[in-house]
Amino acid sequence: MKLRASTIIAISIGLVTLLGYFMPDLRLIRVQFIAWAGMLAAVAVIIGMFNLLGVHGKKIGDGTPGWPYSIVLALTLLTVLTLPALGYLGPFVPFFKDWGFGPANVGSTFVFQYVQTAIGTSLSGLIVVFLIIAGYRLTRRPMKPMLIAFLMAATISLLGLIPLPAGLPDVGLHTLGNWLAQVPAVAGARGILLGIALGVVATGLRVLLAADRPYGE
Amino acid sequence: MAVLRCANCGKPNPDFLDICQFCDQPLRGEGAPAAAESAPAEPVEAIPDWLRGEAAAEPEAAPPQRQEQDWMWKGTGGEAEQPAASAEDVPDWLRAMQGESPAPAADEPSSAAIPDWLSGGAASDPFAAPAESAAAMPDWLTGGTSAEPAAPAPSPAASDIPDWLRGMGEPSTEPSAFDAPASAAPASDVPDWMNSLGGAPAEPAPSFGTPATPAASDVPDWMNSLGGAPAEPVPSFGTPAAPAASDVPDWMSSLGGAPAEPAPSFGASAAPAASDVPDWMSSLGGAPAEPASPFGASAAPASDTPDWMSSLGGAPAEPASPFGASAAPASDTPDWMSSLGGAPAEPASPFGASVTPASDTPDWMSSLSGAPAEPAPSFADPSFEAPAEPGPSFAAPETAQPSWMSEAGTGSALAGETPSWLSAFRPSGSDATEGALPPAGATPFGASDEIAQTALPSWLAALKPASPDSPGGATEADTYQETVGLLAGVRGILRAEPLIAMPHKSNTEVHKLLVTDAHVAQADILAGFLKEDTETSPEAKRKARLSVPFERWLVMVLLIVAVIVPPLFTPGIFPVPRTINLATQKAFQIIDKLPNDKPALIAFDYDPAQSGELNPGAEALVSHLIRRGVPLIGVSALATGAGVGEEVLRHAAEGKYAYGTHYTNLGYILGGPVGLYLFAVAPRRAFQIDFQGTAQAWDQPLLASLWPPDAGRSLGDELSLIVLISATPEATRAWIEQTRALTAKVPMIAVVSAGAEPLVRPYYEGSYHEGEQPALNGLVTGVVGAAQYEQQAGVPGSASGLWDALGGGLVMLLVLFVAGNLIFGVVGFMRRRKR
Amino acid sequence: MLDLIGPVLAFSLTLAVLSYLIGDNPLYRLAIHIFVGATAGYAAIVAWSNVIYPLMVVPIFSTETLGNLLAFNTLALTQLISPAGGLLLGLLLLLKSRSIALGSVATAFMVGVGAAIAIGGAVTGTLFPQINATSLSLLPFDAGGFNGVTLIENLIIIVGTLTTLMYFYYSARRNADGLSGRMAGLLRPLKFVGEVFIGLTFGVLYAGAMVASLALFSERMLALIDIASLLMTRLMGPS
Repeated sequence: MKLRASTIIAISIGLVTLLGYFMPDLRLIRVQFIAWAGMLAAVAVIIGMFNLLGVHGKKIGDGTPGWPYSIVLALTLLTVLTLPALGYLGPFVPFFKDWGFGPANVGSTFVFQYVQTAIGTSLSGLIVVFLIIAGYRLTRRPMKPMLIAFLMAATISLLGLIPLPAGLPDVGLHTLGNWLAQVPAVAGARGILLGIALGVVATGLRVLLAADRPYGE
Repeated sequence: MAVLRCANCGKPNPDFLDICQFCDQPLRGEGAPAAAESAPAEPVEAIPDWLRGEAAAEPEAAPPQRQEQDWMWKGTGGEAEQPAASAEDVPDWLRAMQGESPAPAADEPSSAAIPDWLSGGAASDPFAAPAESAAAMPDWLTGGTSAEPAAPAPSPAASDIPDWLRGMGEPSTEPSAFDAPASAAPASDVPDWMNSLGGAPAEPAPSFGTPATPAASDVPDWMNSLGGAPAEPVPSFGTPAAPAASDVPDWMSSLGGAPAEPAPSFGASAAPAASDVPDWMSSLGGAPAEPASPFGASAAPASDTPDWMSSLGGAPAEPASPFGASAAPASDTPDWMSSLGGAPAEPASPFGASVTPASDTPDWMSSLSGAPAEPAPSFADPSFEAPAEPGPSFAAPETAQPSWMSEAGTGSALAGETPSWLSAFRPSGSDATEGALPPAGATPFGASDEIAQTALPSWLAALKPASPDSPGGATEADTYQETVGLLAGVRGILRAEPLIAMPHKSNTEVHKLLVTDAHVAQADILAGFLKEDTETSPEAKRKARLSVPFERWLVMVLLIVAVIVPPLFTPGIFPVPRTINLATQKAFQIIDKLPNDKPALIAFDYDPAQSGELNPGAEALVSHLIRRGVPLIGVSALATGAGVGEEVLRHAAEGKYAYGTHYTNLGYILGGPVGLYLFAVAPRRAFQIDFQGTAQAWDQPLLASLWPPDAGRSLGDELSLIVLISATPEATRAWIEQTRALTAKVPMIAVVSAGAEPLVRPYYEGSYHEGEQPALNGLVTGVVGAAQYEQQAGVPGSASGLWDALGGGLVMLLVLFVAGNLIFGVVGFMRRRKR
Repeated sequence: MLDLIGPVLAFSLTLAVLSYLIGDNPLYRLAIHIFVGATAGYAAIVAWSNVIYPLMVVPIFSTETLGNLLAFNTLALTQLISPAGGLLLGLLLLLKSRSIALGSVATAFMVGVGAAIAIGGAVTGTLFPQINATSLSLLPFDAGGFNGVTLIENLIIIVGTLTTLMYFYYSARRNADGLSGRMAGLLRPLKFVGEVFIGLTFGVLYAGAMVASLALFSERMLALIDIASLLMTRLMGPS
């Protein structure tokens, strides 16, 4: 099997990092490897931002349908990028006096609070409509054991979460709902988590043994 | 084939001759009879005389000839528009076959009535209209009578094509020898041997097609029967109408036969006058009443049968091929014909006759024997081999035969030049007396200084075999040029490697694909798959639906009402939780008893989109910690989570905590699980600057003493509590997996979204041995857990303010979920029951 | 009035997003594009200000580093290994984005470290603790003696965990025709039980997701009401 430089690097670096769990002497070099990986992740975020600009810039240049939205995206991104730098105008412009630096500056906070939070929360809240519609159409499907269990669990959980209006007796729906979440659901979730962990271990070993080379070789 | 009658001696000559074969006088010129018209489309310089036919003879009746030609095509279901040929166009010998009296066509040259295939083929197109050479019937066909061309002479080139041959391929209205007896040759013009072939004129011949009409008197019966169109004067093979016996050779008349007669064509029982039927032809037909083979000719008087024909047929009563003619009287037999037969008793084929002395033997005949000085016609294919057994033989005429036929020599004469088709007719044995071919050299293709060679029609030239000596013959050009060795650059040398040794693809299929039924079935399945992929399936018909999303709107409106109405109009309708979840209670207890000497780490691993659900829980716990006086360190594994944490900490610590002293926000931990592990192992390596941009974050009072460099302390060594606030189970799992091993002694509380709680709870639940503890020590789930925590803490927060709206929404959500499933379940059940 | 800009902006953007219920429309698309641009820019700012600038740029391009270089302070220069290595790997990653083969070294580095970290975390953080947590007693005794309820619960957890794992087994014996197969022995009924437990778990997950999204929806509705009332108060004046 022909091994290229990238494959050798991936295997060696990975093995040293993994052995560091068992060999304290490798702690320093392991920490250095991990630090470099974190730096690379930050560089990847910057590269992703430029890639996003490039894609939408091409859409604008080619006149692809929807190019005005790309202009809006690019302008918003560039505006957010320039906001932290306005703090340097503080000594010169009174408005920017207490602007601050970094991502916690006034402008970035404004964008964060009134733009990102508003839009993000609205998007997440919009999901409930579609979840409800999808939920009450379940019985249109063929009734299989998994579907029956799903419907029963969802109904009981919802019943257990509903705050009972004043005056209505507690018929044990909360207890049943709690029990459902604590026992059967935990059993299923534990099995799922074990399966996920086994999959992560298998995938990681495949990468370390060069059976998978997702780094583009 | 048209016939030219010599002006000098009065004897008939084929029209392709320029000089009388009897008296050596020019046939053409002043007073020379017009040759039968032929219409070759190509130059006929190379066409032998026997093919050219009576080109000199001009057809007298072009229209009738044109019509007469139609029989050839009408016989295969042809047109019905052809006018009937006049009786004058039908040669006598044909007419005799049809049972008609020979037309008084003394003024009409018999050549005009002779079909082209008899008078000479087309020069250019074998299916083109033959030249109007029907009138120019050769003597052997017309019985030696002078053949007046009934049609004007065609082009000089066309006139060289024998009519009988010319008429073979022409579908147009050119007259053919069979349907265009343009001029009923006098009985004297029809050789006896030909007349003898016709049989009784009154007897109809069996027809292959429809019977000819009375108007088909011009057309031999046997030819009318080919056409099929009742209105057409199609001279089929079995037309009952027969020309005058004198005009129709017996062999011809015998071909037509009577409808009632079982005798096939060519074996027509109609027999013209014995004197008109050549012996060779009469020998083909046999007795008029005798059934004969389709190609058997009735017997003809010996005197009428050309020698070459009689030699082919043997006894006159023996069936013979249509082309096997009985012997014809020597006087009536053209020389070229007689030369074919060799000895008078020798049979000869009409095409394989050797030439007689130049005066008697047509060139084409003479060239058949020996080494012809002229290029042989295409019929003489040297590549053909004589069959092992002789084919039907021609009856050798007992009487004198044309000199050209006698000089044709023995059967070996044509051995070298015999066409394959002709070889089949080679007589058995080497008996020169019977069945022998004309002697060598005695072929009509023999060189003759007097006979000019004309060009072959293209269709005929294509049949001509390649001759090594022919100037136009293709020679094998060896273009191979040696490339190596001393002979490099030399052409025409033997290859060093034999061709068989050179790698090449075998023409033979070595491997044969074995296909079984199972293979076919599997191939069909695969083809079906591919077809399904390429096939466009029409879109399923759907009922018309409203364009507006009515369902979404309804659900949205109901939810808005359920969420807005309780807090605005019925506040407190939904009481705050009176009971607390055990996991939430544990979390409360942990914080409530937490020492404040060490900071608590709070990880804000959620983005602004989930802040509406998780902020109440985060604020409740942070407020509790602040009330407890525990220092706070904020981090986040999400880029936007750091901003959320900044807002929560700032809001909770406003007026109570000082940044940098009591709380700080380190910001974003990059790298996901890798960064978390780095932070757990070496916290100072993960941050150099805090979220607010403080240059030296670790110089802050809160952090200065924590995790000193080179002290080798991990994360859990300096913390009192870790609070994970995450919207997804993956974020919680990452923190637990990467940091729990190094923070086992530090309690960990998770504030998670209601959607993530089922997959996070296993880290909380479980039974552990003494000294061990689960990964999570407390769990607060969404707004409900935050509301319970606030109730437990006794400090109302944002969760309590959201409770009425959440309660109303939960009720509506449950109603929609249950009712919708019931309705759709019943509807679906009814539909399935209907099906 | 400046303080109303934010709430009005949030109000408008919230309505623009909720307009998706009518159907895909330009307002919704505009709001989404603004959100993506703002989030990408914010993430880039955080990555630059929290990691790249302090950990890679400042240590290399500072005057202190220059002084150490000039003074050949090897001890101080060894501290440049981390930022220099990070910078070098960052440049290699930049080459990868340009489809240059050398960039694969940086991605291979990240992949190798990430795989090792993931393996270690999965084993120590999930696999062992969860197996340990599943090893429940089938003879639970508490202060009151043998607890049958606990036994049933423990059984349910054990059986549920095992059968859930068995549900993700997709192998079967091949039949004589080589085309189809059936699972061996008890695997089919156990898979059925696992399927039930997975359905229960997903049902609870679904209910939790609905509650979470409902909480967000409620918070937005209340925020809209608050902003609307604020605007009305400001426009109409205190009544």
